[in-house]
Amino acid sequence: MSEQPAARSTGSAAPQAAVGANPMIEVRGLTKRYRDVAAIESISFSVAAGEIVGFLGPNGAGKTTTMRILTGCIPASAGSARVNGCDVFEDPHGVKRSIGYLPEVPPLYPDLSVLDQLQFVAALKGIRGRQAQREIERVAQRAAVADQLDRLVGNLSKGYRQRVGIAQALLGDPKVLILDEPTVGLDPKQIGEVRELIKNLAGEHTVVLSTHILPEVTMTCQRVLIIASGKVVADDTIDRLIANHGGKSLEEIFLSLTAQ
Amino acid sequence: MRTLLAITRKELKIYFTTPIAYVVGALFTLIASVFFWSFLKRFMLDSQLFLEVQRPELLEQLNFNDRVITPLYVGYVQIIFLFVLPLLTMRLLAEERRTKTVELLLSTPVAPWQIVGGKYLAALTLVVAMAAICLVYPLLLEFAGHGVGEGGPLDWPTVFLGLLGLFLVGATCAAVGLFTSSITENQIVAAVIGMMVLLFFWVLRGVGDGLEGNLGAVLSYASILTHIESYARGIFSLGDLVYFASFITLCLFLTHRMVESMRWA
Repeated sequence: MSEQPAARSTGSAAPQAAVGANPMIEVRGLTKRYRDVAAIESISFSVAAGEIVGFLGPNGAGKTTTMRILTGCIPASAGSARVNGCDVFEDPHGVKRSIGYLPEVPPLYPDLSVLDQLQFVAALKGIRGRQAQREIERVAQRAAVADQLDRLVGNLSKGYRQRVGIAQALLGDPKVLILDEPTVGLDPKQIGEVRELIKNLAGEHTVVLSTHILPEVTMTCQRVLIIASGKVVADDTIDRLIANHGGKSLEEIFLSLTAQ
Repeated sequence: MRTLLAITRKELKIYFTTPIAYVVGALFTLIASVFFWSFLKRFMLDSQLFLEVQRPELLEQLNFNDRVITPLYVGYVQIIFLFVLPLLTMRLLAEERRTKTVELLLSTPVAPWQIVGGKYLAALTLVVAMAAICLVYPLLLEFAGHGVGEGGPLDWPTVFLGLLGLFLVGATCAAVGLFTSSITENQIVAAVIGMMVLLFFWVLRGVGDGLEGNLGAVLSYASILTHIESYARGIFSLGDLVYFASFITLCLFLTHRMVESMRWA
């Protein structure tokens, strides 16, 4: 397909995808400044319950910053974010109870066994006793680490570590899952498995997933949100995004939108 | 509270699955035992000397409490605490920040006081374990030694008050170490600053005694060394207990502030 510079949209967001009356995640005018540098600037979007949204953007675009604000790890400089009806600033514990977060580097203790690690996270999330045991069995099964429970986290391969990270995000069956580059460091077979896992989560969970691997988005997500240098430059379903850009591939759209 | 205990359990698990607890425990026991042995040896030499010079009445003044246990606890074990506890606590918060596991604590419904309390409780458990090791020495004397006349070889209330003093000093060192672990991502820096702070409060006594007037008195009072003495002599002092409790509370309060601020970094 030939280059069509006319199709380049500069800064302004594409029309919003239809979202139900009560969005699971609602972000309005979210801004994060580090001294004078703005990591994200006035980002707004919402995600309906059960949706899988792909968070796209080049490195340093502000994907991780947005996710960290949504999970209550860092505060925003301006704007508001609501998850499952709770404000991140006013009721951070309410937000944290309904979120499962997998950061870029899975937060694992290398000196603990996988079972100890999952037990610790279950306790942090307030899951106790027999229910904790059931939950751990469930997520271990789901993330395919059930046969690794006795191994030390530090001895696991990167792929297994990533899966333990996913397992602990799934603990407690949170309504919202926020996954920061969940397939990084996995081999092709594992990537396929994780994508399948994420796809299966749709419906029961709302998933926000960041990535810069474009085929991943087309395979797992219903909607894409492209951000570049801290601003939302596109927010639409994949089909409509391609239609609006005259049938170009997602890769070309991504490159033209994020080029500055 | 359960979340707090879960954090304590995790820290203890890490202490005991890694060699940290065993290495520190073994070295601590070795050093303390060497000191114990040397005090005991001197005790025996003194008693022989008194017999040789034909003055058995001096023997009455020789006792295990004053000549072995107190100098061991106050003179030496506390100095070991000063160096060992910052090394044990240095990883508690600094490591979480460096390896980014702190994101797990920040993104789950855990309050800062649960983090600080859980980690401090883990450090206290280690202090109690080391104090328990120190209990072995008076027990050895109780079974192997004998006193002059009717009484046993040891005055146990004095021993226990000494242990209590030891525990309080250890708890203070742990609180300082936890705080310095919260101010940096670098464990070595945390340990070094912790040792320096403790050393400062140790030598403050000497500085204070050298000065005249109110300033000298205040500096002497602020020193940790000043507040060990009564426990070492076997006197329960509420004032000194308040001193240690305030010191610990201040450190934990500052740590709490640092943990809260991690969200704002």
